[in-house]
Amino acid sequence: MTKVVAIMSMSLDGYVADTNDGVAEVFDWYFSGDVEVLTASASSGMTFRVSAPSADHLRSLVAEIGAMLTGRRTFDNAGQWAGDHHDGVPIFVLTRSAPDEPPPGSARYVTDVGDCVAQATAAAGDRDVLLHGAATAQACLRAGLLDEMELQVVPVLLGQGRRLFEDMPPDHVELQLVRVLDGPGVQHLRYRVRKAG
Amino acid sequence: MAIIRLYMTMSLDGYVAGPRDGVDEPMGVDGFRLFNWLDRRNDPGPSGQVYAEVLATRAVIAGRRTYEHAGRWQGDHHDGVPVFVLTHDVPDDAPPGSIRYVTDVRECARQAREAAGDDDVMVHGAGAAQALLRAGELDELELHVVPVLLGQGRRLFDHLPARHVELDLVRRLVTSEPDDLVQHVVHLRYRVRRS
Repeated sequence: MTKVVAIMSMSLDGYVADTNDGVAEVFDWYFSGDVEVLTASASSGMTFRVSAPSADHLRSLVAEIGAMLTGRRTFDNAGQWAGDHHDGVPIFVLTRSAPDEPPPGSARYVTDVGDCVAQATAAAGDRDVLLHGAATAQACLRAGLLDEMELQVVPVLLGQGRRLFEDMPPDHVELQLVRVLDGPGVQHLRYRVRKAG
Repeated sequence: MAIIRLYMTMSLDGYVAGPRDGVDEPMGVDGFRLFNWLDRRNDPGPSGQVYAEVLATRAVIAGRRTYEHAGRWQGDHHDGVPVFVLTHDVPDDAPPGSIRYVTDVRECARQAREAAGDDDVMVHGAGAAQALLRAGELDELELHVVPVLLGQGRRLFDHLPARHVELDLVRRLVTSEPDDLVQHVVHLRYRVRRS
């Protein structure tokens, strides 16, 4: 069954970007190894160079992806992936208001979180929906629509910036740790959201 | 020389207590969820190992808030080791037991290292940890990361300057999955890299 999986790189103190929306620190591990992993559209020219364990892990993650779900901020900050995250998988962009101009390539705008998850899930077939973006992860968590979190915890304290977990209600969300992998410079922690009942 | 190491239980979303923590409710609303892993503190395995290490420390540095919320540990945190309470204003009444008050963070670190000798110093509380980090006196962090999102509460990492602190992971211990998932925990130990 299709799962909605948030994948985010985060500093140990919980930030996904610095005070200028910069991600160089938390993405450092993507570029500090010696195994190449092609990703995020060949057209973007972005090639990750990671350690062997992280490379295996990334390849298996990419193989799970049936659709991308992302927030508008992340989408725009990533140059809209030039319309192709990888292999033309459909990209669903959650936004408060859709611009008049249609998004490039395989992207489309959706303004309602439930609608967005439903469309992405349908498009993903028997694979998973991979989610990017702190605000979108929070929206899905609040709506009870997030199934798993794949956190890449980076050994740095940023001190300030944009947090992954912010403005959440005080209700506890119980998780189950399902996998831990160590790459140099990053811990890959996979958690499943335990649904009530 | 003694290592000054923070031992802290934290939810995955970075909280060390629930909302509205105070003397009457030291862990905040529903914050005791964080301590379920301690049910296994005397079992063999990672949680027992980490807890034994806590008890082997020979000095404690605590923030004033933590100290007061914990009922001043009635003067004895563990084994009568000296407890250095970092505070802006020293109370008029004499501290109980093995407690002493220190107002300067570097002086506090110096005294605690000296007291611990060849053993380690345990740091208790978010406020003390932040003060030591800012002063460059924190050597290591041992975080017990609990698989829960509290949503709100008191954060471990807050009020820090936008200055990056590089860390190195030196140990990662994961408990085997217990029957009761709330006892599950990941123990991550980091060393603070000196710039």
